[in-house]
Amino acid sequence: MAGRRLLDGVELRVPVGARLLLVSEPEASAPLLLGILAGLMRARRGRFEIAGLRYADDSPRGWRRRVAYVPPHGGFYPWLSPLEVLNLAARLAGFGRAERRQRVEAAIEHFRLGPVLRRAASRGGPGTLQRIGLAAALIGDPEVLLLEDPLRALDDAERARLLDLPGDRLTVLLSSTQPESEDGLVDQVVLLRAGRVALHARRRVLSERGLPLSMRGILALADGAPAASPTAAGA
Amino acid sequence: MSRLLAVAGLAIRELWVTFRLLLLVAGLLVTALPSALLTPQGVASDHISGRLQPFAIGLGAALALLAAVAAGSMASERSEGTAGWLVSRAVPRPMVVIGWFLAFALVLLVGLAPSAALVWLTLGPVDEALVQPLGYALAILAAWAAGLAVVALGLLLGSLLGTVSSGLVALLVAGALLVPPTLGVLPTLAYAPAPAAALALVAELPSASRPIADALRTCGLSLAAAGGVLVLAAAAMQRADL
Repeated sequence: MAGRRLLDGVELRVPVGARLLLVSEPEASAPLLLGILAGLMRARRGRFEIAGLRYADDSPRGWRRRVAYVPPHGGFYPWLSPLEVLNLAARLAGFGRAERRQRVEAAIEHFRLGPVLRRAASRGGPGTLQRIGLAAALIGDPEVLLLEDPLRALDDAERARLLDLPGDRLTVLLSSTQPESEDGLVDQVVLLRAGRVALHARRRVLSERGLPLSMRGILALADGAPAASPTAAGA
Repeated sequence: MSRLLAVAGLAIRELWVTFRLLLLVAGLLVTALPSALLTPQGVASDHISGRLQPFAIGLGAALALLAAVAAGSMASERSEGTAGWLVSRAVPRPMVVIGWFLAFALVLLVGLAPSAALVWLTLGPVDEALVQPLGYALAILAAWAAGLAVVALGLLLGSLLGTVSSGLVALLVAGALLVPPTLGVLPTLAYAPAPAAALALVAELPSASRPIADALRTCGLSLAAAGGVLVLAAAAMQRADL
C-alpha cells in the first residue's frame, strides 16, 4: 500500500440515530477516518456531516462538545482509577458536583466497575480499560459516538450488552476489523476502499441479497452494486 | 479554568508517577550542594563568586534537563494518546500545552526555592554585605523566569518532534543557551540573551552594579520570551497529529 493514500477526499453524511459500521480496505483507513472525525488529525480534503453536525465546527457548543471518541485501549492515563477517570470525564464535560456524582454512579453500575473502582485502571486488564473508555465517553451524553474496534477484550455477550446503546438520537460510527461480530448492533454499512467511500448501504440490503455481515459479504455487495445512498439502497 | 487546572493536575501526577518530578526536584536541589560544601576561601567577593558561580552553572544544567523533560513529556503525551484523550473530551489543544506549562512552572518553583534558600544560608554576614537579599531574591525570580522560557521551548519541540529527538534537541539548545554565560564565556551579562542573562546575573551578583534593575529586566524579558514561545507551542500543537 506504499504510496497510496489511506483517505482521499472522503465525503460522508450520516443521519441522526444511525448505527453505522465502518470497514475499510486497507484496514487502517477506517480508524484513520475516526481519528479525523474525533479531531485528533486534520483532514486536508473531504466533507463530513454526522447527525446534522458539520466537521469541524469549533464553536463552544459545536463538534468537539457533541462528539465522543473511544480508542481501542482507553487512551487515558493508566494509573488513574476508574472512579477518577469517570469523575474527570464528567468534570471536563462541565457537569456540576451533584450531577457528576449521579452520572458516575450510574456508569459504575452499568459498566460493572464496582470491584475495581479505586485501583489503577491498568491493573484491571484490557477489558477494564475498554469498559472505562466507553463509560467515560458516554458520561457526557454525546450526540455522536465514534468507536474504534471497541470492547474486544470482553466476551461476546457482555460486549453486545454494553454496545446496545440506548437512545434514538445517539448516532454511532463503529469501525471494526471483525464485522460479523457487529451483527445486531448496526443498521448501516460503509466500506472505504482506496481511500474513498465505495459503499454506503443499509444493513438490511445485505440480508436481502443473501449476504452475511462480514468483510466478504460487504465486498461482494460493493462489487455487485454501485455505491448507493442509504436512503436509495434501503428504500 | 476548572478544565485547565484539571489538565495541570494530571500533568503533575503524571510527572510524579513516572518519577520525572523527583528527578527534576532532585536535580534542582543538587545545584545548591557545591555552594553549600565549599569552604570559605580568598577575599570576600571572590568567596561569594566561588559560591554563586557553581550554583548558576548547576542551575543552567538543571534547567536544560527541565527543558528536555518538558519536550519528552509533550511528545510522549502525543504518542501515548493521552493528549488525544483529553482533546476528544473537548479540551482545547492549547489548554493541554498550557496545563503542562503550569505543571512545570510549579515543579520548578518547588525545586528552585529550597535550593536558592540553601545557597543563601551558606553565605556569611560578610557576604551578605555584598549581596542584598532583595537583589538575590529577584535574581532567583529571574532564573525561575528563565526556566519558564526553556520549558516553553521544550513544549514547542515536544509538539513538533518525537520523544527522544525532542528531548535531545531541547537539552542541547537549552544547555548551549544557559550554561556558557554562567562560565564567564561569551556573551557577558550585559549582552547575554534574556533567559541566559538571568543565570549570568546569579553568577555575577557580587560584582553587579545594578542587581535589582538587571534582575527585573532579565525577568521581564524571560517572561516575554516564555510567553512568545508558548504561543508558538500552542500553535504547533493545534496542527499536530494526536
